[in-house]
Amino acid sequence: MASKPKAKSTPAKSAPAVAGKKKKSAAKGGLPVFMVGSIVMAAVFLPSSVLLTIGMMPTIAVLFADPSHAKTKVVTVGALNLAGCVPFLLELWTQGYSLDKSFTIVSDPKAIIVMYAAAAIGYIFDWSLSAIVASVLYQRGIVRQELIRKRQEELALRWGPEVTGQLPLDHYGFAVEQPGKDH
Amino acid sequence: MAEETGQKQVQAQPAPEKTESKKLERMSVIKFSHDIDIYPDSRIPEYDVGEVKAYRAISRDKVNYFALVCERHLVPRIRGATAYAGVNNPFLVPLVASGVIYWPPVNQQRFVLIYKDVLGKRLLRGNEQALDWRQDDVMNIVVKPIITALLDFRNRDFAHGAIRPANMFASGHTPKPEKIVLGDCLSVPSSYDQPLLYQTIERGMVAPLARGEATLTDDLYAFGVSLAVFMRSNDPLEGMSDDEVVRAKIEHGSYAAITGKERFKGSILGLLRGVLHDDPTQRWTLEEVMVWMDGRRLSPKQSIKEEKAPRPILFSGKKYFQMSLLAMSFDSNPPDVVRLIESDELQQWLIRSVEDDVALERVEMAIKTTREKGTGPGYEDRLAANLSVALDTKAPLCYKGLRMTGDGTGKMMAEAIIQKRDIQPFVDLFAQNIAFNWITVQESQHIDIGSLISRFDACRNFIRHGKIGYGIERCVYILCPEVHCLSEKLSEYFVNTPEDMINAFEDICKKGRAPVLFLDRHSAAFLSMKDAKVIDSYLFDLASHEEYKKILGNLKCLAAIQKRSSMPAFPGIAQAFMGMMDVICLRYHDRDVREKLQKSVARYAAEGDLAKMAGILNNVELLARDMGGFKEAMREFSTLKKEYNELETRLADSTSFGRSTGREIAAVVSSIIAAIIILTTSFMFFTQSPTF
Repeated sequence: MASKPKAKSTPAKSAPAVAGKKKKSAAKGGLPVFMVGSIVMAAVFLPSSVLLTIGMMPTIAVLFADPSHAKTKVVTVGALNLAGCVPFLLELWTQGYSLDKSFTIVSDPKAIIVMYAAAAIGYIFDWSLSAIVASVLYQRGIVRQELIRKRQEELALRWGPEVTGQLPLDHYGFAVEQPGKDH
Repeated sequence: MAEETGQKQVQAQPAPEKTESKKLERMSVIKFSHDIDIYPDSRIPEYDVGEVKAYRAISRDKVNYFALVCERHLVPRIRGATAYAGVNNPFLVPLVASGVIYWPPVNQQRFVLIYKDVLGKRLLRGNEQALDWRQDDVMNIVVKPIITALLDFRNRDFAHGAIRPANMFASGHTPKPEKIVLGDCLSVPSSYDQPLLYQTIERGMVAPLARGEATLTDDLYAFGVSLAVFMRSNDPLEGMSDDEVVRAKIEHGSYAAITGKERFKGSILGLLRGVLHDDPTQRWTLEEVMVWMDGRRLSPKQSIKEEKAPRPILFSGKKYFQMSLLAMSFDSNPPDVVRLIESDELQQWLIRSVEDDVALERVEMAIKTTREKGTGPGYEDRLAANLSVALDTKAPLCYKGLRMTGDGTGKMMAEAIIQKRDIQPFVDLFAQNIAFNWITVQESQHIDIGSLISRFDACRNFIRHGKIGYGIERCVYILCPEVHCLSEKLSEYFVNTPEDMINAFEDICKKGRAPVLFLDRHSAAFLSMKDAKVIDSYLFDLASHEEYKKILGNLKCLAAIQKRSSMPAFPGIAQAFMGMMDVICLRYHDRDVREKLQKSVARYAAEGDLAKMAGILNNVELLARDMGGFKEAMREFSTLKKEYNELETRLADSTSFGRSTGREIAAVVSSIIAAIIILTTSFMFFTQSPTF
């Protein structure tokens, strides 16, 4: 008798699992397509790819170094790093779009400094802003805790210890055992 | 309050002598009303009615009265007083006023009857029971006046219950007076003080207190015995105990037992035989007496004596030939009653000797109904009680030494409660259906069987219910509506109405002796009987185990009395309730509401307005709002607690707290700056800015 519901429940449970597997396989299937697409694109626009690959090295490094799931640090560093690369990318696109030109630019220390400095500013942004915001939020948390404590005290003062929900209450909401009723 | 009942026709007595009036001036005085003073130090023993003492009383206009100060355990005939006051007869002592006063000698309130002092001396004193008067004198001095009084009583639906030579008074010093006056009959329960000689056989078997209200036929019987005592020259019942007098009446018939060997001649013989007939249905009525007075001679039927069985039955070592005498003895030895039944001796005696099939049927039914309640403890007494009435349907209700008429049960119970005696036998009477079995076999036309059945049935239910407002206490008030409230808290007061009760409580509070709670089982039952509307809605609160409900029930009930009777302020009671207000206010969760309530109630308490106090505290809407607010507060507290705990957990790691948010902000800021840079650079590049 008891085994029947179990038997019935098995396909019901397996349905989402199958769906999850399908999603995972789709994700797994999508990544190689993207990779192949990226490689093909990189081959087609090889001068730009060389310039960006070398110029965006700090971002690539952060991509592997950032353990967070959201990868916000990559975005911070990457955005400014990209901004540092853009003038040289424009130069490449307008002043002879070739692999030689690309190598000429990346071998120019000034260009490398500009691109990496921009990435460094991104690092600084990430470090300083997150620290400042975290500190502000921490202080706000402390203040909020204090406010909650005060509000709870106010509630307990006005409505009695029964309001805490820690005492066994009767039908009318009064403590079954009423220690310290006068407060 | 004393109620004035005028009897203006009686001539005013001369004022006391000057010396006596000076003496009275020095005595302590109790004001009965505005114009009557009672002198507690000036007794008139001649006018005492048994335990009830008589005192001198004088009005402002110097008319002599006497006051009968009733005893608490002997319930006076308060309802009868109203009827009696309406009777205007020169042969009755005039009732001037009656009411409740504070009686300093016992520090209690007492019910007082004020009569005009027209009595003189008693006709019969001591144990004298034979006066040997001439028939003509008896006719002129006794018969005619008493008959006129009885006629007046009949018109008022009243019975005296105390007609006897010892309660007849006459002024003057001649051996045979010209005019007699009947004394008091209101200060004690009906016929309480009436000697057994003057009682019919049925009433003679009953305890004095439990005889119930006398009827006109009982008065006629007592009148007949009184005539016999006036005329007879010796007392054939002299030296006999009460029990023996009843047995003599049963064995020989009342007329023969009272007159003995005396032979009366003339017309009065018919009157005596007529009014002394033992069968109430054959006893002369007042109409027949009037016919006799008019000169027509009726011939009363001979008294039919109960037949004696040819063979006796042995009970408790004695031989019995008559069922009524046997029934009368049953309560003296209940174990022997069980023996009679178990051995089938009684049934065989009824079949073979008495040959009364109807009585046998009643006995068998009594045995059956008794056994239905089990044969455990109390079986013997129940069997004796049920068999007693089965054998003799005229027998009183006999149980564990109590002998009562149905009507007298209430006064007997009241007396037992006041004297703090065991009332369990009374509980058994109703719980074990003994009273009900008794009433179902009654055949007398002089018993209001329908009313008694409904009252006994109500008592049985009250005892089964048992909660405050019901129980044996309620039975007392339903069976004896005249009894004052028997609450211990009101033991110093004579409370007869809800208004009396609230006034008494106010007095108690003003004396600083406010009780923890005002209403107890007795006062609740009393109020429920007197005015159900002021208490029945609150009985549930009063019976609650929760203190605040009891207090609120008390307040609402007293407030209802105050409102219904449009009574003045009761600041004493209100202040007493203020002392209990914490318990009630604590039922509100909101402290702000409590404070506001306290202030509002305190304001009304200062005004003594119980109705407004109860109105505020019984605000259902406020209570619901408070409860709603409390639930909302609980929800808020719970949400805050959850938030606090979450914060607590997150703040515990101060290095990571807010970092992700910070990085998100940094990413956004960085993206915005990067976008600006890219756009600017692109713009400048494509517009061939000198920078490039």
